[in-house]
Amino acid sequence: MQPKLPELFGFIPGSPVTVEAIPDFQSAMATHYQTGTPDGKRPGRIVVATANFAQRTLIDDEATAYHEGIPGHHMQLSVAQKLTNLPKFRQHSHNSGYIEGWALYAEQLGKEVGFYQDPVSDYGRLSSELFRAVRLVVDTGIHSMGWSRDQVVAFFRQAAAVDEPTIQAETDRYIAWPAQALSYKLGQLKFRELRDRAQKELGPKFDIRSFHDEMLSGGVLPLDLLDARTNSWIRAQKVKSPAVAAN
Amino acid sequence: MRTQTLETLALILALGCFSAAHGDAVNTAPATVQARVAAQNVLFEEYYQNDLKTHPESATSRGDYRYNDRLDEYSLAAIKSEHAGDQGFLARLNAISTSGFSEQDNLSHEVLRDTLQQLNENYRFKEYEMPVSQMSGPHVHLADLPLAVPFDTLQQAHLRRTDRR
Repeated sequence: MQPKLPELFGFIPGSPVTVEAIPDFQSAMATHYQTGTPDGKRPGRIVVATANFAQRTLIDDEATAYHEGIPGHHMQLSVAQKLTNLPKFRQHSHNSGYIEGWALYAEQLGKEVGFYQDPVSDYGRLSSELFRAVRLVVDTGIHSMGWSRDQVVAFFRQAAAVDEPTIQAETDRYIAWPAQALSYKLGQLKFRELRDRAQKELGPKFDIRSFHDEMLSGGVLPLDLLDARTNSWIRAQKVKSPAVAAN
Repeated sequence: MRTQTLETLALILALGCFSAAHGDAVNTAPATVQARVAAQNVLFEEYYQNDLKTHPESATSRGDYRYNDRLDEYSLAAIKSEHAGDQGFLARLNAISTSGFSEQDNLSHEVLRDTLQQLNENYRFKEYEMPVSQMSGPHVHLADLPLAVPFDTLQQAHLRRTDRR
């Protein structure tokens, strides 16, 4: 992915990242990303869920790599750490819709630059997206419609998006962590909506690299503020000299 | 560069703006854009420093090692005092008019207001009464802490942190 980044981004932070197996004491956690220090002394860490490994599927590994690493969490949070022109609290602010939405959006970027060459991997990408859509059903099912644990597990199995250890851990996760799981799909839909809007408004002036830079250069934002910021960016792009687009 | 200039300016104006930021309506009204931006930047820096101090484990993970000898506080008294602090920041922020602010300064204002309002909501829903789950809580964070600390230079500091409790 790294050699392909210049097709997608203008600013590439190039901060270090490691991949490691999840420690035993975190076995209930899903694969996740932990930020490194801004000076790169402590690299970003992609921590991979390996508990009960014999029953885990590998088909979504490529999508997960883009999600947790580059151009997903590691890329986005490394950019945020380098925004030294912003007040410090904005370099470290948190919003699940933005952070997880970006990471899920990042999974599709791999496809756009020619990856997921193995059809099994591409199936994994789609099932990873289906998984996030299933969360919209079951999380609201539990917390708004009174679904039982068994109902959630049954719906999950029927959707066939993830393996059994994931179904079990995820179901308990939604029970303990209301609505957090909704942020992935809702955030991804917002990034897609903003891209479609910019593309439609700007036509030939639309440049995917500037768009992605713009999505990341304000740091982590609540989605309504990101939406408003994108609108003013679109307005500014419109009045820019067409010379850039002509190149 | 721009931020550096603003920070210098903020320091120079800090004393003058402090009472304004605390919401003395008579004095705030005529403040210039420059003075209000400076007051806001002082508030941002104060908020950030306070955040690091109240959440020493986050400070460590952000590469700020000044609080490596402390653990996050989970007592009800600490949570109440943090909530009071957040409300104080929100009141001061709301007292700063953003009229005439640049887009970035305005956005920073909105982001902090959103963050503080969210924290208020969390408090109202008593999120603090559920500090432990199978995914997160002190039992997990404490075990993960050594992985977020650069042991090469700070082993001693980290051991002191563990000694405290």
